[in-house]
Amino acid sequence: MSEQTFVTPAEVVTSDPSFMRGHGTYQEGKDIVSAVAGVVEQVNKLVTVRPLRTRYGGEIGDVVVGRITEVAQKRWKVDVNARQDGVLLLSSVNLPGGVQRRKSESDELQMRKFFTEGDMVVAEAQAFFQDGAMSLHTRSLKYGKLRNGTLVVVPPSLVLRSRSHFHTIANSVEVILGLNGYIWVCKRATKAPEEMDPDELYANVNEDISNQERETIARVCNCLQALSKRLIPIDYTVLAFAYEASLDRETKELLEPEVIEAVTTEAVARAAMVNE
Amino acid sequence: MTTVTTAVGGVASFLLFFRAVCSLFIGATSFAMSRVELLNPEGLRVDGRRANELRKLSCKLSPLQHADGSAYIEQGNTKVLAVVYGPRETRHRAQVMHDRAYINVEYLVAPFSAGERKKRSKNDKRLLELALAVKQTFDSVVMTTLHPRSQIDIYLQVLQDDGGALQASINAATLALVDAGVPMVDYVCACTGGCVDSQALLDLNHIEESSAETPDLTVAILPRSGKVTLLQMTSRVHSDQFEQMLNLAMEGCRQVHAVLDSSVRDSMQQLADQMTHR
Amino acid sequence: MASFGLVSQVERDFVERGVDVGIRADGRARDDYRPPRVELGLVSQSDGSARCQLGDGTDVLVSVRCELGQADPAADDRGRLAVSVECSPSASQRFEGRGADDLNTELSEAVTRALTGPQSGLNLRQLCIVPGMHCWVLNIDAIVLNYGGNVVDALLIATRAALADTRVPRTVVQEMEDGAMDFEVDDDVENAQPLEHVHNVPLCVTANKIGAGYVLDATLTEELCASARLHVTVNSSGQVCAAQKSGDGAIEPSLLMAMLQAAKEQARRLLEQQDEQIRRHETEIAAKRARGEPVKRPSIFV
Repeated sequence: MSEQTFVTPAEVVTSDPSFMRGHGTYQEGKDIVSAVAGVVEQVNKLVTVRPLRTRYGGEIGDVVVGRITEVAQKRWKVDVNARQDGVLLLSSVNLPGGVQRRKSESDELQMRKFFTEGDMVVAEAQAFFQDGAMSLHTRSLKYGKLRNGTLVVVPPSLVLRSRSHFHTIANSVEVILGLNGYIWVCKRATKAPEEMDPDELYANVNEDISNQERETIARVCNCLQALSKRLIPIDYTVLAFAYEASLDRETKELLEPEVIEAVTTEAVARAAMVNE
Repeated sequence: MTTVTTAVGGVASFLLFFRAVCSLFIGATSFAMSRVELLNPEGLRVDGRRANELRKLSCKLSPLQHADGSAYIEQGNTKVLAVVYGPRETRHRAQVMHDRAYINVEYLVAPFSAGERKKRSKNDKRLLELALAVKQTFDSVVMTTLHPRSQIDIYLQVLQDDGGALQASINAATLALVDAGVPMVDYVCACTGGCVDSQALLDLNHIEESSAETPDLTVAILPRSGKVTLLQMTSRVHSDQFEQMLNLAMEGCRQVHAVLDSSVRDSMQQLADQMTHR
Repeated sequence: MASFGLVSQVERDFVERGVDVGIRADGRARDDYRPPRVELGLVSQSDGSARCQLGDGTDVLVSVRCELGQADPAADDRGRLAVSVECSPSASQRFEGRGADDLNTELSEAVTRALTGPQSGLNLRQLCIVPGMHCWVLNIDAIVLNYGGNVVDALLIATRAALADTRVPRTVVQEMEDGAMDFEVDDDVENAQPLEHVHNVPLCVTANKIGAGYVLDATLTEELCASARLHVTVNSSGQVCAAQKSGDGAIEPSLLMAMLQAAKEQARRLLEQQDEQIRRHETEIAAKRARGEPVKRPSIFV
């Protein structure tokens, strides 16, 4: 592990004119000065300072889980735990009746039939508006309205970037690790999205969830909270190990500090061995 | 012992204030009710400090995990909690600024913070003024143009006021903003000053602040450039020593900066250690 | 209590079904109550104080101050209490400005209701200084630093602990030659006296009706899914001192009885745990005094 250089606000990062300044810094004369307390990062000639705690900023292509906060003209506003609410345009969602359907007038008036305030959605960041707000889309069938489960919130900086953010645990439970710190844990849907009727895609009805599935969902949620409390970066590997390590205890015992410590320590140790 | 007679009810609360103020010091001190000697012939103040001595300053970052940023400061017996949220979605349409973040400050004083318990309404003029002073200070220091159309909330809660609540609040707000990763040009470091018998005093406690013997100066600077971002003085005493007071207070700000910066570095190291488990 | 935050229909349904089968979102059963974390004596300039952290982040700080006051003519042989609860905007953006006013009033009344009345336990006569003239007023000031659900329970837990921590200054009353009563307040903290009968002060347990069932120690999400709420205040003798239903929904009698029973049982457990903690705390302090060590109160946030 390389040495980390910490800097604090107003500290000079470098005075070397060949460097370009990036996020977390500002220019004063020939100095590149830090604007935050964080770690200096350098990629080629670009120097940035990354604060250890910050709100979710996001990048194009990020998978995020969000909550609809507002229904507006031809679009929805979505709380994605960022500096501004994200925007989901009507033209960026799949509407029942086929992906290529033309948007008609009645669609706009019936926007609440698709998403209404409070609904949970998984989407992808497709672009950024000039003011920094994220523009989302749910065009692929793996995105869209969420059901059959519950939300867990963790600090966004703990969610590691991976190839995939959709995972299955214990065969029955699906976990969507939103890069914005919102994580959806639910029963794996019996039908794949392609097999669903068009109106099922936006239905507000849960499938039947067995007690066993419910327990598993709760266990996964508690593991996520445990990892979050110990500030352990989260990906599928460490979560799966935490889940396994927790199996010899009752689900609700995972709320106790000693159990959190034991389970997460084991998970981290096992994950480290895999990574070597 | 303080004595109360039934005939003069109004004296009771004044003396109760005295009783409470006594309990703020280590070791009971008795003084005549009419005049307090702020600086004795040996050069010691009422709490045993020298004229140019800062009170003990201790800080803690992230005491409240649920907020984006938070900090708790104890400067002597003045205790302030600062909580920061943001940048986040602006709550009120009217406050959205198309080219920068809107900074919102609320300044709250706990009813039990002073020697005499007092519940203040949220519309208390003095509190609104203090909130505005803090807002204006940070408006010029936070790099708000990086986050247009968003809102940054700074909530200050004074839990104990033994003098210098505004300066402690500014220091706490600075730490909370740093903790939240909000980009700033520099730390904002504040300190108070006074003057007694031509001798400048640093970091006034409550007795000194409320005394008619000394002016009460609050100043905040940006340490890197030395620029002054806040200056407030109330005075019931004619003083030729303004420059001397100001210089001493500014020197105090630099001492404050050293403590704040050191606690930020400690906190970063701890956080990094916790996060790099692999 | 005021409901804030959004929740989707499917999340609501998930919670309701979970309560039906007794498996909540975190695996707890309906009656499972997460242990509160309580610290005493944190506000050094107050006569008594305590902080309580519950569940998913609910955090309240309570201070008790003894202030001299005029005796109430209707109860001239005793002192009184004054309760004030303030929700800080740090707990939720909705508490900014006047946003928390209604909730503050509701919470202040909930605490007042639990502490006043004959069953509240405190010996208010202890607070009388000169009958008909002077008495102590216990100012109970609470700040809600974070709102994570179940705030009323947390407030009572912290308040009872703060009262146990409270020391009332000693007063010496003398009759003067002209018949007037004179009194002195002893400033020496060592001579201050504990409040009598704090052991009798009740605690509150809130049961939230969700679907056809109920839960204790609700999370924020569960509170948003509740159609009604029952606050049950119980003392160490198992007596129900106060009960209050809030929320729009109606509660069937059989469910009401079940909620009452569960709340009483949980209150009994909470009271035992708290009494044990208070005992330990006082033993520690006495030991420190005996050793001549300073009884230093920790910072509010260590």
